[in-house]
Amino acid sequence: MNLEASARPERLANLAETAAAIVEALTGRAGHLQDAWYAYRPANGSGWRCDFSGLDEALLAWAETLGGIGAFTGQVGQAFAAAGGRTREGVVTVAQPRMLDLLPCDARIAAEEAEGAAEIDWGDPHRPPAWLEDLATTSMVVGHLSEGVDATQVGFVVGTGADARWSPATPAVLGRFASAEAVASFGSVLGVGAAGLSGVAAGIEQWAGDRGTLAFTGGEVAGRAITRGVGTGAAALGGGLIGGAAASSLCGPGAPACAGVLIVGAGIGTSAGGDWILDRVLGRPGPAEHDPRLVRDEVAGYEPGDRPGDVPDSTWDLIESVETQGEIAGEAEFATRRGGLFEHDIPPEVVRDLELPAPWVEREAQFPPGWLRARDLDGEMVAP
Amino acid sequence: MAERPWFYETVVSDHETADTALHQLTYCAISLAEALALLEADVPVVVDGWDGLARQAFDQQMPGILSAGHQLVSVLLAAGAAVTAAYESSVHEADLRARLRADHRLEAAGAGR
Repeated sequence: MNLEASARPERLANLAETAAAIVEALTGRAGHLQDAWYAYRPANGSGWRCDFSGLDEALLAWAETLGGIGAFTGQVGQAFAAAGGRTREGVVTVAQPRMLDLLPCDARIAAEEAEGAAEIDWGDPHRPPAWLEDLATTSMVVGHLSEGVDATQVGFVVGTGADARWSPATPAVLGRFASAEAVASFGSVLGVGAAGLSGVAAGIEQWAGDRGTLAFTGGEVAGRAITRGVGTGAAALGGGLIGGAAASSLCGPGAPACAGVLIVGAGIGTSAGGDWILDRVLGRPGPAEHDPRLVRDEVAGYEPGDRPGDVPDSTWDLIESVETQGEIAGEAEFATRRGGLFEHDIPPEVVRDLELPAPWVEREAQFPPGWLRARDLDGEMVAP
Repeated sequence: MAERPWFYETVVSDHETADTALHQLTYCAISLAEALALLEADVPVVVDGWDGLARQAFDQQMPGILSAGHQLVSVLLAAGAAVTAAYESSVHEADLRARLRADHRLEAAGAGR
């Protein structure tokens, strides 16, 4: 056993908090699903319903499992924080036995039993998983530009962690939680048309970055974007005024190089200073830090009683896609089951197997091969 | 009294509850997918600098949890489609039975004359 262990305790605590919020949201969701089953079951005959009675429990079980690993992670974070040790660049290093001693019994047992397990490469912490980044190009940016999101492709992500990749059939709504870094990588897209308008560009960038996190409410996101935009614009304007005044008083006529240096230098200086002040005024969430209320609300999604207008377009698209798939499958199932009835020539054995009424059988089945049914399925008479 | 033919049995299905089920299953899938997306974006950040037995325990458990979550998303969406399929099939079946009943009654009326 390695004698030392290290971690960033606040990040472990953040994950525990996020997991707890997710569990709360999914527990509510599972309750709604159970209600739907209780209403659906008696209203649909046994031959005409899909048994999804176990899925609410499956969702609950998954949530409870996540809650378990979340609680474990939080306990480990607390143990690291309580164990003392030395801190370097946010990483706390402690004596492993000391940290283990501070864990609750079951968490300690879980940790000790994992000795020798392979450590997983979860990917670059500064970049989101590739599949999220890919989705960002279709969902986040397009969504921010209010051009709608095409979430009609349904599927799921294959693999997890660094191995995760998305298939073209992945729901585009997954892209909504790509990190702020992912948004920043698309800054050039968001900045098109806004070049030169530093305040607007900064405001948009702030808005997009904040929207990519779950740390601020909609009102807070807007307020922060306005603060950033106005602040940056004022700094740029102030820089120009200061540079111009300095150039006219210090350089005098006939010294364009001096004036240029002063104006540009003042602009750079005030912009950098403005950014520095705004960064401190606005602050930013820590790594993997989210507002648990927002996590819960976002994961819970549409609740009974919410206005239909609150449902994102991407959700409607997904529902419509699933419904269309179901309709196609339902028609195919019916055609397979009752296909014999749609044939022009109905073999007697097909009719017999379907247990059709005797008079009908006599009328239809006595036709020689090549004869048509007397009446087609629309009720129209067909000439024999 | 002769036993009534099979197509006199009513097809019991209900659009409203089937539609609600489809919606709830899809909402669940989206909720779970969003949770997975959030976790998968956070986990690489959380484990950065984390080393030791607790990290090994985390790595032992978390991939399976995430993988199961992705599977559950697909199952929920498939169930939503299956609910719609069952309802769609029932509508066709109800139409067919109504047509067969009408034919049967005509036959019976003709035989009675």
